[in-house]
Amino acid sequence: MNITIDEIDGGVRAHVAEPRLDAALAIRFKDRLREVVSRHGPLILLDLSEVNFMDSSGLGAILAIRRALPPGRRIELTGLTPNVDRVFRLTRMDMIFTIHGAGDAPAATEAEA
Amino acid sequence: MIRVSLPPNRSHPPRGEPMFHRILDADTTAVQQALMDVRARFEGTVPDDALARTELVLAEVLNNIAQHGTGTGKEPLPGGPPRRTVTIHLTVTRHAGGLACAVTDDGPPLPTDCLAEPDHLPSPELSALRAGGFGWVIIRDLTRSLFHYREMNRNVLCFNIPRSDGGDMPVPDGGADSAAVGAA
Repeated sequence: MNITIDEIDGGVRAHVAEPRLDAALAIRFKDRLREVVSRHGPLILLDLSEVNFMDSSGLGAILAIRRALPPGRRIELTGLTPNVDRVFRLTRMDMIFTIHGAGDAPAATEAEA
Repeated sequence: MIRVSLPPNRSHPPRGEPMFHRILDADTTAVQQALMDVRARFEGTVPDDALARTELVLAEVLNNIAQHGTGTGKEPLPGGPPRRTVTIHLTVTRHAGGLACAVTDDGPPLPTDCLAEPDHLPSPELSALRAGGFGWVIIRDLTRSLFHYREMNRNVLCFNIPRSDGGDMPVPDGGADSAAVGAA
């Protein structure tokens, strides 16, 4: 389970370097993400641009971490591929996250589209 | 129930519609492999978007069985309930309208309310806190002709994934009447 961290304005960009966030990986993803939010902040910009496939297990992992965020921390999203975006829309979880498009995400280094 | 020997069927093209069949153990790793193999089987023969919807729905259906059918839940704990061995049969067939899918498993009966559209949805914020039931929201939304029955000791779940998402909207079935359908 690979998440790389880059410093950005106000926090970090956490780049999920996995093509699939599904039930087979959900627990490891959640554990790694919990570690990330405990060490970094206040903003954790979760970059999902490399994730081609995510099911409700992957979504559930992100929501579990969001529920138990340390005080002052926040998770925002960027780089949603069409299949990942679909899961957020169908479950209406696009309404509870701040989701950045390719151009408007806080960045220190230029993000790849 | 009369068995007849069928004459050779000459009206069909030599290669029928692409089809995928697999018998697999209900665990998330075997499910992941099956999903990737379904993708490989149908890639280029159906629109990418239809294949993506199929992959997502199958992930939800199959992982539900792997997690709830086996009794382990989402995060198996040491000392938790023992894992039941459950076997899944998966069939996916292309047809003119999309991909027809049949999934059977020998786990305990699927709770019938999974298939029913809820009367009202909780607010997104409340859904986020509960963080449950999303799988069936996705399944109900992306499938057509979804139905379930129990045969012998197996759940049978069948559904269609339409070729196009936009043009084929679910048929309104009168809201209040739909609650009675489950009892029929």
